[in-house]
Amino acid sequence: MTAVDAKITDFAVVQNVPEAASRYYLFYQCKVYADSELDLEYRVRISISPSLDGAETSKETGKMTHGTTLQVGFAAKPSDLGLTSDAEYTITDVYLDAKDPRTGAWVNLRSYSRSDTFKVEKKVTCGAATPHYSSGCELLKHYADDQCNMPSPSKAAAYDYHVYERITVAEWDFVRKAEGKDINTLCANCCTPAPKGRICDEHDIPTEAKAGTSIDIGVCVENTGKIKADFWVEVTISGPNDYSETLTSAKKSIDVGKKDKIYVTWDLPLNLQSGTYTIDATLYA
Amino acid sequence: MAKQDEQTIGKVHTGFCAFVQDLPSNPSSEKLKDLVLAYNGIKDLGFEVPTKDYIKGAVEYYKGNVDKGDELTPCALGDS
Repeated sequence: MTAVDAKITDFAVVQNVPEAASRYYLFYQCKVYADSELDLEYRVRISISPSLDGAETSKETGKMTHGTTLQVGFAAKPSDLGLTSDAEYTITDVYLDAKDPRTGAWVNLRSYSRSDTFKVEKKVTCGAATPHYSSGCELLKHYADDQCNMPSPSKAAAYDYHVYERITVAEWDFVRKAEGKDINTLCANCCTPAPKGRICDEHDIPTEAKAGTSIDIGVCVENTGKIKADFWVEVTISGPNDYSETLTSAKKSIDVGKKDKIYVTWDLPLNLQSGTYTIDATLYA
Repeated sequence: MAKQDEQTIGKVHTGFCAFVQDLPSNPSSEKLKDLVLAYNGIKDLGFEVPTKDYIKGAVEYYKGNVDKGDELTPCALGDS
């Protein structure tokens, strides 16, 4: 006669899950301890009340060696349930089955009556207030960069959810839906990108100049942002005997993706010493 | 106002340095002669040649020794 036995321990709700989830979220776990003298396959089943579409309710362990323990987790990816507030679900029963190695049929070993609750959190939308932000749009803007792009992955949001508990799972899932995208594709007209530009290479600078004359210095500027913007430059000229002069240009409007030159005029003093003068530019928008 | 970028975008040579900037690539003994004349106050090139080091530096540029020329003069032809 061979003894067949096993048990489940460490029942635990892991976290809530979001409505209209973008992916599966682990919500429940427990441990299976294989106490049988035989190496058997086990199965854990859970009953959820009310029933929840998109939730795993049965997990198989594969063959377990006598005396070992395995953690089993259940995940859910609920669809859009039309919730008006968070909905509570209860794991009412957990069943442990073993597979009969001769027939392949599952045989129930134990049943556990439980009352473990978790919530399906109402989905976040662009316009409505979320648990921590005035709207889903504001939530996305908090984690997007100044060009309205959501990093992928959004580490800040992950930390805020997993470590600091500053956002809920529904909020975190909403952020993850925007990862790698312009958040305006998820929430139209939500975010205005900041002007963005760089100093490019095609400057207009004379290689020589005479004291007592003027030269125009053209700084190449490229609009690398998503909106037409006004740019201006500060040009600092430095040279021998601690000579230094800073010139500020007028603002110039540059279209998205375009390069243009922004000019300043340097009036060289009559007594300017012979030398090589270095020109540094700083771009502002 | 938000700073977007900053960098060194170029150099401008004035006076003596503008005069000698092409010596390394286009050696001209006439220019050396003019510099000596200017140093001695015989010719006006529109800028001062205040010391002999300017002449020595110009000779180094003429010979293609740009770094040595930069050491002797207020010019920075080597990294332009």
